[in-house]
Amino acid sequence: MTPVFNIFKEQLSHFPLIFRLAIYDIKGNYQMHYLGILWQFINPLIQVLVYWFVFGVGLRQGGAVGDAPFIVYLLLGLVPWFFIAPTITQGSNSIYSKVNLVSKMKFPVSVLPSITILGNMFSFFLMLGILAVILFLYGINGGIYLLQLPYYLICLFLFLFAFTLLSSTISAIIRDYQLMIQSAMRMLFFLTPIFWTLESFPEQIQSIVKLNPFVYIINGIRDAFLGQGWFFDDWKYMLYFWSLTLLILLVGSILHDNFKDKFVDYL
Amino acid sequence: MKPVVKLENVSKQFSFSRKKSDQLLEMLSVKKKQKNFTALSNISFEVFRGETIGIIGTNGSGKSTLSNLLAQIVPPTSGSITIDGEPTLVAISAGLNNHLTGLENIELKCLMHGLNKKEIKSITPDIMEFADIGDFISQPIKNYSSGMKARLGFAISVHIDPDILVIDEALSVGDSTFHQKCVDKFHEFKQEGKTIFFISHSLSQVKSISDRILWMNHGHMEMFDEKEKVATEYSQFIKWFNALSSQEKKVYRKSKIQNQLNEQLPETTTLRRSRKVSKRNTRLSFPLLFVSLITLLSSILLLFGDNFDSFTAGATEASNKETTVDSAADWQEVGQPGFTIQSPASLYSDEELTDVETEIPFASEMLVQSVMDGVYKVEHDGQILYTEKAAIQLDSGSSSQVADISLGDLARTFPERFVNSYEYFFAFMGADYETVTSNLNGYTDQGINELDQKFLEFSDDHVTIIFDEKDDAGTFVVSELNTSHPVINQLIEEARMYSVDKTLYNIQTEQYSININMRASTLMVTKIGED
Repeated sequence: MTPVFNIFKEQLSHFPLIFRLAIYDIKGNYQMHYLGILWQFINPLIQVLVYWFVFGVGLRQGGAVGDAPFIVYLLLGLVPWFFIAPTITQGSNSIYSKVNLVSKMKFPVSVLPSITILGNMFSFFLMLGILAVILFLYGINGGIYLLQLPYYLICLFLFLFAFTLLSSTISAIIRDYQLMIQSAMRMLFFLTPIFWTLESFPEQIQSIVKLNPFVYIINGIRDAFLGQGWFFDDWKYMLYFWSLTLLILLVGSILHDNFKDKFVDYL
Repeated sequence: MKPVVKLENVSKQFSFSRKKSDQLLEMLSVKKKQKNFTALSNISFEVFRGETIGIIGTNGSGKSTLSNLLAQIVPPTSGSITIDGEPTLVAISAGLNNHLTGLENIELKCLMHGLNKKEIKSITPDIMEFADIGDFISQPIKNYSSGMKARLGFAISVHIDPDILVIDEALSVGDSTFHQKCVDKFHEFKQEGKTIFFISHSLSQVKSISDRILWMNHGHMEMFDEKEKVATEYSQFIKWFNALSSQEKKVYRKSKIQNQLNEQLPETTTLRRSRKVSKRNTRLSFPLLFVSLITLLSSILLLFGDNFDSFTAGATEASNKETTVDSAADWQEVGQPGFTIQSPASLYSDEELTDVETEIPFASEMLVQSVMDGVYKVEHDGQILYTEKAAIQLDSGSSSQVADISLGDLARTFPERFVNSYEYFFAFMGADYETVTSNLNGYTDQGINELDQKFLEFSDDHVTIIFDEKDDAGTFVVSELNTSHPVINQLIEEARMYSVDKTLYNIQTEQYSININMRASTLMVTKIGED
């Protein structure tokens, strides 16, 4: 367990640095564009509109999901996904793309994935805010269930941290892995109940779909906003999610610990 | 006096794997290292506070590798490096972000070296002054010339107050003014008691700055002594080397590189390392194993836990069902709609199927209530009747199947005579008996058929109109059908039900219910959906 604690210690002691560097990352990304940081919102907005049109108006004929209108259901899945997908792909690439920058200074490599997570988090929180306004306009209130939102956000961040730590390490050593992650994320978009509901499948298939940990997070965030249930209702799923996260974190930390000094050699 | 930097038998090897997969296997220590290039071999030296060390050597002598080791960017393959203080590497444009402006880069790089906002603010003017790039400071780095980039990188690195400065060829791009500025800065550092490693292949630069010179030659430390001594030796070597013919130079280089490839590191160090790794592995394996086990178990629980629940629930449900069935005197509940698949099908008023109550045509719908010993209890027109199980097909969802076939398609299967007149006849579909008889002349027969329905037969046109109980022309029967026409095959494929002997087919379109009798070559079209 010591590598895990060491990694966390590195994150905590370098937190102000992570924060600043994340801001610089965002700035650097949009420096070249006329609309600058606005693209953080234009991009998802266009995608939301396309998905809403294709899946909501086209395929579902505008049918509601339970009590919620389809657009609300879709947004509750898409907003977390727009955070998850780029974070995973960029995070997996973070060590490879930045190690040259970092290796010239005394600087723990393990903070690189965290910078990506934090950099993407700003727009995620803003989008969550916009989402809350939309929910308010629709008169949808999660009530007491909203209390579990922080729990699911912690789940989300911890899982992303564990996963990007592991995959950024692997991807720095095996470049093929990055391409694999990219196509896997494209596939997972369709395998996660974002524009479809889990309930529309038979039980057995539901259980298989649930092996995808993003299902836990996205459905959890939905439950919180729509007031559909508590996180401890499905304890089996909760146990699965946390043990998987811990496993990824453990493997990631050990692997990272073994390779942190050697990244420069393998690039 | 305690040395600031101490290297003991430091070696650095790079693997010369030809394939990417070899490198991977080596990394996982599955495969023994095959071919290595020894960039540095058994380097040992000590450097004390306030010294300026010049590192000199020809191309490929291991200068840059040594500078990377000193800056603690790459770890040594074997040996130990002890450094007292924070080393900083100054390399050309290291750690600069091309898209950010000069000012932002200053802040970014200082941040990465762990300075806080206040400190950064105080040193920024000094850096700008030193780098001397004027108004370009607010431009993105990508617009800079290479000299500007190097000056900025250098200016930042010297201003973040490093304990040990490692300068790798950074001065080669600056002009003489900038060079002088740097030399002044080095003197300042020297007075503050800081250690500087100055790496270059220019002897004159190294000589002007350093106290001692370290001469590297193909991975080996050739000499490390007072600058004058080394400088003479080195210039002699260069003179000797330059005097060689190009062929001799090649041979010399080749033999040196071959040596670097063949060199083996002392076994003891690698042995010790591997033992250390295995020990660490056993220590780590316990939590890893434990967590993997929990993950595996929880995923099994997730996958099959629900099945287990439903399995037990299903078992209790089944036993409940059994008891209710027993009490209902062997009639088993069905409660599904069904269709007759015989023509005509007989419905009986008793369970023993002896008294025929009524006969109904093929594809009539009814509700099948329950079943016992091959007999269905059905509800037809509000009556409870009984019939053979074989005469009924339960609705398995196929009844909602709607074929996409128009009357025009159907007409292609009609006998030649009727093809011309079918539109006229079908116009009377739904009209009452009076209207039909007064408008359609030339019927050859009329009467009541076996199902108690009025009919008008037009044998010249091969069509019979059958009237329903309200005396409306509900069904048209076309005879002498061309059953070999492909449209018939298409219809059969889209049939929602067919009789046991596969001679009768029922097809439902949006407007009509169509029955085909293959044996009698007739097609029966009934209008649906209006009532």
